[in-house]
Parts: sequence; C-alpha cells; structure tokens
Amino acid sequence: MKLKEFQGKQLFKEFGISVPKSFLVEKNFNETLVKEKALSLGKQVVLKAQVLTGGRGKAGGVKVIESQKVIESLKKMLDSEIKGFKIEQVLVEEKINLEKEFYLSLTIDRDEKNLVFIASSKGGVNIEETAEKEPEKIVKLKVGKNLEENILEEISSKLKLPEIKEIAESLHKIFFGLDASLLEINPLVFDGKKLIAADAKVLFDDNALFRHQELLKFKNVEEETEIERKAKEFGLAFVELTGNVGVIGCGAGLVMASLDVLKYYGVNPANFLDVGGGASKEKTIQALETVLMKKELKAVFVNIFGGITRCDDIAQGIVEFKEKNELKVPLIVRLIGTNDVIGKQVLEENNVGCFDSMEECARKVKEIIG
Amino acid sequence: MSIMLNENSKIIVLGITGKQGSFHTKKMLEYGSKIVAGVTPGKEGLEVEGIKVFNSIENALKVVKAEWAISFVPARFAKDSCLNALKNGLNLVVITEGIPVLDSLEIVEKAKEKNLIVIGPNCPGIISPEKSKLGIMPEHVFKQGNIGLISRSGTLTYEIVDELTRNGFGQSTCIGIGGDPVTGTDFITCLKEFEKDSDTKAVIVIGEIGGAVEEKTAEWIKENFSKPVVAYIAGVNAPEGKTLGHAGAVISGNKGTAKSKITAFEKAGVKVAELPSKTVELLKGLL
Repeated sequence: MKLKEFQGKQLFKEFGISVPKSFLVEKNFNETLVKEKALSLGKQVVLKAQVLTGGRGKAGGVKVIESQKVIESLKKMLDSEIKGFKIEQVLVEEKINLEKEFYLSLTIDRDEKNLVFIASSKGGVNIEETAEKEPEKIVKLKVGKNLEENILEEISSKLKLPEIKEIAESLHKIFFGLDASLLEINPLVFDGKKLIAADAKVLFDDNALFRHQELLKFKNVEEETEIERKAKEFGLAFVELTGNVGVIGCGAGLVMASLDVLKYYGVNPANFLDVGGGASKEKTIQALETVLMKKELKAVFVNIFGGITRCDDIAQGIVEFKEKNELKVPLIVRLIGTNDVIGKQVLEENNVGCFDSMEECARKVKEIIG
Repeated sequence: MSIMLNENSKIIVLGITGKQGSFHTKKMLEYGSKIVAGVTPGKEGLEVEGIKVFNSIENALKVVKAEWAISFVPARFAKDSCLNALKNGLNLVVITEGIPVLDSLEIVEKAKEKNLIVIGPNCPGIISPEKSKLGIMPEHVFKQGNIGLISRSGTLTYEIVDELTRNGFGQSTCIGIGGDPVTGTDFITCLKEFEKDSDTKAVIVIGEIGGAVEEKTAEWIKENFSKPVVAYIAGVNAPEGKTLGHAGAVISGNKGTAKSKITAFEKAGVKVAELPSKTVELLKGLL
C-alpha cells in the first residue's frame, strides 16, 4: 500500500520526525482562507502535487511560488495531470532552508534477506544515481528487529550527523510497528538548526494489513483503476493493461507466461488476472465479469493448468456465465489437468472453443482478431 | 536419485485438519509420501486419513520421528507455527500465501541459524517423482528422470514439467521456491545440491520479474555449476510498479525486469527459452 507524501509526513510527525509546516488543499477551496494560510507560512511557499507516481519534480509537480500568487498557482495545478494521474490534492508547504541535504531510508533487501538502512550525504538526488556515480557516499547497514546502538553510531559518524540517530530510530519503530516495506526520506534536510523530512515515501506490506486496521485510513483510491477495485472486491489478483484481449489464468507465473505468449504472437493483453489455485465455479464467473468490464475487448483467453484447480469447475463456471450473460466476445480456452476430460466435454457441449496448448490458443486468438 | 526429499523422508503436516491440509494429506499419502503425524492445536486424538493428529509438534515428536514439516497454517498464524517447527529441528515447506514479509524474514533467519531448509513461503512444495511428494502439485504430470527443476511459479512448473514428460525427459526433483519477495531456499541452494546429485544431468530454472535472485544465480552458475542449465523468465511484458499476482513479482523503477534476468543468464552461458514449450527444444540441444 502506497501513501501519498502528506500522509507519509503525517505518520512521520506522529513518530517524532520533524516535517515542514503545511496545509492540504483540494478542489473548490476557500480562497481567502488558503491565501491567509499561505502568507502565514512565509513570503514564498512550495506547492507539491500529491500524486502516487514518482518523478513528480521533473514533471512540474513541485513549484516554489510567491505566497501572494498562491491562488492562481493552485488553480492551475489542480487542473492538471502528472503522468496520467489527476492532481486532486496539493500540499502547500513552508519553504525551508536547504542548508544540507541527506538521504535516509529503511527497506527490505529481498536478495540479502534482511532489513537495511541506506544513508548518504548526497540527498535530493536519485539514490540509484549516487549508487552508480559515487558509491562511496552511500552507507548500507544491515539491521534486525533489535536496533543496536552501533548501527546508529555508524550512520551518524559516516554522515557526521549525530541528529540522524533519532530519525533512524523513529523509522525503525515505524517499520516494525506497522509492517512497512519501504520508508524513504529524500531529501532529509538540515535547515541550520534541525533535521526535517522534506519528502516522505512510505510503503506498507499488503500482506500485513490484516494486523494494522488503523492503516486503512491511508488507503488511496487512485492506487487502482475501477476494474482493479472490482477485482479486489472479488478477491482476484488483477492488473489492468492496455491491450484488447482479456486474460484469465490459474497461478501468477502461468498468467504472466500467458501474457508473454500472446505478445509473442502479436496479440496485446488487456489485463492480468489470476483466479488462484482451486478456483470454484463462482470465482470463474466473477473473473469473467471482471475481465469483461473492459471496453472494446476483442476476445478472452482462459488458460487453466489444473493441479489443485479442477477443470470441470472452471468449465461449469464458463458455461453458467455464458447462459446468464450475452457473451459478445469469443472465448478461447485452454484446459488441462485435473478433471480436464469432463471439463472439455462440458465446454464442447456448449460451443466454447477448447485447445490443448497455450500457443495454439494464442495463434487462434490472433486469427480471430486479425 | 533426488535431492532433499526421498522415499524415506518422514513428514508432519501442520494444519492437517483444515480444508487444504486434509485434502493434500490424502493426495500425498496416495503418492506414497511418508506422513507420520499431523498437528492442529486443540484437535489431538483425531485422525485425518488414518494419520494421528496432535496438539503440537512437541507432542507429535514424542511418538514419531520426522525430518520435514509441511505447513498449511493460515498466514496470520504461520510465523509462530513455522518458528516452532524449526525450533524442533524440522525442515519446512511453507505452502501458505500472504505471510507478512517481516514474518518471513524471521522464519528464514531462524532456519539459517539452525541450518535447516525452508522451502517457500507461497510455494507448491517439492517433489521427487515416484519417491515422495511434499506439496500440492498435480502428481500425474511428473515422471522420474534426470532433469532437475527449480521455479518461482507453481503452475509454470506444471506447464514445463508436462512438456518435459511428454518428450521423454523425466525429473529427478522439482522444487517450487515460491512467489514471495523473501523466500527460504533459493536457486543457488538447490543448484548446489543438483551439482552433487549424479542422477541429475541438467537443470531448468523458472524465474520471473522482481528482485535480483536470477541475476545472482547467473553469476554463481558461471563460476560453479558444471551441468547444462535452461531458463525461462516470465513477465517479459510486465508493466513497471504493478505486482502481478505473486508478492515478489514487481518491477521497481528499472530493477527486476525480465530483460535484466534474461541478459544475466545468457551472459552466464544459460540458454533462455522464449516460450515455456521451447525449454524442451533447448534441452534437447544441450544433452
């Protein structure tokens, strides 16, 4: 789960990390109130588009403006888009003194299988750039559930910044207390007096949300498309793509391979959908419903290799869906594995095309859609 | 031969009385797997498919000996159950999907500390065809033979194994290492075992987007693995930043792309198939 910058900063504040003074503005704001607030922050303020995409700065999503001109600038920003995301919220912040900029993050190094603090005296730039050009400026320290003093010591001495210990400690508390997957402060600004988180990137582990109900207040609706939200309600793993052939499969790897096989034969998939192992007739119907929400679909490819999934359940689901809904697009099905003979029979009796291999299906789809 | 799991491996099923646990216990027994006990707290005294159920691993081990545990325990309770299995000296296969990453890290660390194997989480398990099955895979596609297989995807494993079997290539052992970002066993651990196994003549590696385990593996293969390797990487057409089913299948920025993995493997002399079915063609060429 991704948090927007203002939410991340809210969280940081709760854990004792200083953030710039600010207020959030949405469409149809009270102009008098907003101007007053902006002026109280100073002669200049920073407008930051609150969108769930990176590269915001380069795309004009961060602007320093005269507080006197805040209304027109806000109206302009709230009327525009960044990388396809509508700007619906803008954070208006005080302009802080960027005396020195640092980088600090706490994240999971999945390949080393541990948590790692990454710190650098080069803040305000992409950390991957620093890793490439000036790797000696990066400190990478493995850390466990117990935050040992010597780790904090090492970060603060390498960066010559004793104040960073407290910040690192807070990040560690957030990470373990709320099951984060990434906490990044870039830049972590020293304004002459104290350290301030000038930006906040916060990601939470979706698998752990069951034990942190309080985090659901941060859920951002735009993280998903409308169809993705519907799929989530059904408990289906679904990602909307840009093509015109719907895809349903069992097992994430198999579905990914299905997308690849379609593309290999010149077909563009419209989505990724994994019904998961052991999908029932009902789940199959929900999957078809979801996929068919996409406009201008030319066909739907169903790829089932049944291990724990029963092919006859899938076939029944397809047939029942067909009976209750007008199927406007051709369905190409690949059914193999547990109870495949029964499943294929059911489909054949109901005029649904069934094939034995993924590639055959992909070629058939290409033939149909041209 | 086989690696890690053979016809003598004794197994305890954790979460045996649940829907998945009981169903798969039946299927594993039918395959000939030596399941010696099951555990579900509060259900001691019951029997599932003739297997005695105990309240705890400790209780079970008072009566039986075992080297492996397979866990169907739901995600929210998985950590404690897995840590307990490791504490009691059992290697572990974790079928469960949805385990929080911080929990997985603890499980993996404990296994390292105790020098035990953890396969998974979020995996289909391990099978040494015609010897033993410790997992949920559809046994009828597997056949005993000389090809080792290691995969991050369960269903892609079945897909490729089906192709292998149809073309006369049986399998020594197939391991599903799982689709999560943090897993116990990885490709290298399994490859080390396959290197030592005289009956394994070649290995198929099935990877996917996310992380850098394939890149690390490619480097290791170049220096350390003497047998032919064929790979298939899923997710060539995956968009950035979107998780595709598996929690570990996500491209972050420019890290974890299928292209990066394919390039790494090719540089290491590993043949990479463009389509799952082409793995067999490539294998034929190498053997």
